[in-house]
Amino acid sequence: MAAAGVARVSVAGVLLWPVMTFYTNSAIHMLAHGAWAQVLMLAGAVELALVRGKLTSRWWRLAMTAGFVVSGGAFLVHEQNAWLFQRSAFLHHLLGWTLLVGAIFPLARCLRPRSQAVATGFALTFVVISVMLYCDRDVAPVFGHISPLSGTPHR
Amino acid sequence: MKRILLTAVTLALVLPSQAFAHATLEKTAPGFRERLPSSPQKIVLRFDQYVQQLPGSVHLYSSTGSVGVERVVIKGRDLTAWLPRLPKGAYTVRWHAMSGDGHVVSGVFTFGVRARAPAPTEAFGASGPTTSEHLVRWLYFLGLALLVGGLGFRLLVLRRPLPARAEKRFYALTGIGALMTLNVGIAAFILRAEDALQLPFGRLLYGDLSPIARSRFGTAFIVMTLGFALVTAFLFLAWLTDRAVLLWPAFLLGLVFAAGLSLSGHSAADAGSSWKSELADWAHLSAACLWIGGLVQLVVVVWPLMPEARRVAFLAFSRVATVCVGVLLLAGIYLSILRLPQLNDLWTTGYGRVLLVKIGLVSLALAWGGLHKLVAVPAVARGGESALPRLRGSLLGESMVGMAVLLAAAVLVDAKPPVQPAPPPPAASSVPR
Repeated sequence: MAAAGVARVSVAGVLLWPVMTFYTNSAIHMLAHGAWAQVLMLAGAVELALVRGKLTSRWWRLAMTAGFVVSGGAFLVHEQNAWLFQRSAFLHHLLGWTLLVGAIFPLARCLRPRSQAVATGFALTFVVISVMLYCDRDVAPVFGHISPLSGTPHR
Repeated sequence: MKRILLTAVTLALVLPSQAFAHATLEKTAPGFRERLPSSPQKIVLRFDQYVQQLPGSVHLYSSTGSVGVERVVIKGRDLTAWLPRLPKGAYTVRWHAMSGDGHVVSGVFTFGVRARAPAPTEAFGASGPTTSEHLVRWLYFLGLALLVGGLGFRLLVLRRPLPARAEKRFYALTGIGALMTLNVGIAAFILRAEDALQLPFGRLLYGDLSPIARSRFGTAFIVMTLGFALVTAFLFLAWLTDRAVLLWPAFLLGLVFAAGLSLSGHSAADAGSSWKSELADWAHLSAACLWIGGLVQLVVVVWPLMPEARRVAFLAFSRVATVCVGVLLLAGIYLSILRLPQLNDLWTTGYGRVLLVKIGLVSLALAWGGLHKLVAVPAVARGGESALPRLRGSLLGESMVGMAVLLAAAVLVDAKPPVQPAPPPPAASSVPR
């Protein structure tokens, strides 16, 4: 089960490459998607190698921590507006910080690989991020615009 | 249930395509690189959300300089610039607008009035390849050599199972090559976009790169990035599952996707190019990668970690390298004649002078390789084991010269070959009446 999960992370990394190459309407999205694709691919690959016994040191699990930190950093660097400017700004900040704080779970897995609490926190981080990503879609009917400065909703 | 949840999470991770906070250009009139039969009255930029006008939101340039825009108006999602009557020629549009979230988005595109529009990378104001681009292209070639050459060496020269440490180092070297190819490719694309857009880095981050992505260079970038991500996945799977057979698709796909450079460079775009020049360029590049990547594997993997295999590997590589050098020379000579039909172009043009430097370095590498072929190979074949330990330094020297050849090739690819004279008009007697 764990192997299937990490295999999906690796596949997600590979599949993020088309997102990176086809969404070129701003350099920052391209760079963020590229960084995200690579850290996902690497983190998934390392987890698979750990499961299969190709890598043995538990410190390799830090690759997943690095994946979370780079992904969170990509969200925060990309967003230049304040939290309450508009829905997407709010969610970009929230996603970034969730990933940065959530990085504590893969970090804890290096120290306590058998802890159920840490494993649950790790899995829940993915669920929470998925829900936020859905909400971040400009067509998602949640929140709406928060600040009048951000103008009328455009869709 | 768990499987469904995991699949949903994966899909959510791979489909963040709508998570754009700032305005995105949806379409333009005239379109990117559109050839118009007459002067347009206006330029219209349609965004996916409302935008605010900035001073100098739309700048128009002909091939000689700025063309005044009469007025710029914003209505809803449309930014419209009214134009004077434009004479025949190529035009560049540079635009800026503030999106609802406060980010300044920018872009560039070209169109032609009764004339061909240049690629955005050749738009008015773009200065052409810089030293950074030479360096990045060189790193790209090195990455390709490590990846494709390393795989070729493993599959064609070192076919037997490797000791664990040698196997590990082989995968480390080819893995570095794969990551270099992906990341340096992205850097090359961004640098080319920076030159086309002519923006400081902070503004470039919100620049619209889609016109560059739609150029021949951009298409090659997209295809090669996706292709080498797949090659990396095969390489990883081969390592993970200990199945060397998976290296074959990685190697063959690597060779196929390396053709993206040949299909987007001088051999495909310049006057006189044809499928033969594209094929020659691809053969030239592939042979160089196999030669230099193989040398690196020989020096870094076989010599220090497989002393018992040095003799066999050296003799087998010598045969492969001879074929590679033959292909390299034939293709190189053909391409040189095609791009520089006059002999004096070699010393009268910038392209020719860089080519002379490259020819000098290739000659040095060939002399070095010839010394190995004529002196070291017979000695090793006779069982002269004493020569083997001393060969490592010599092989390292040959690979260094090979890398210098790649640097000259990187500068050459970014240089512009001299414009070829137009073919003479047909004789009067052959003109149909």
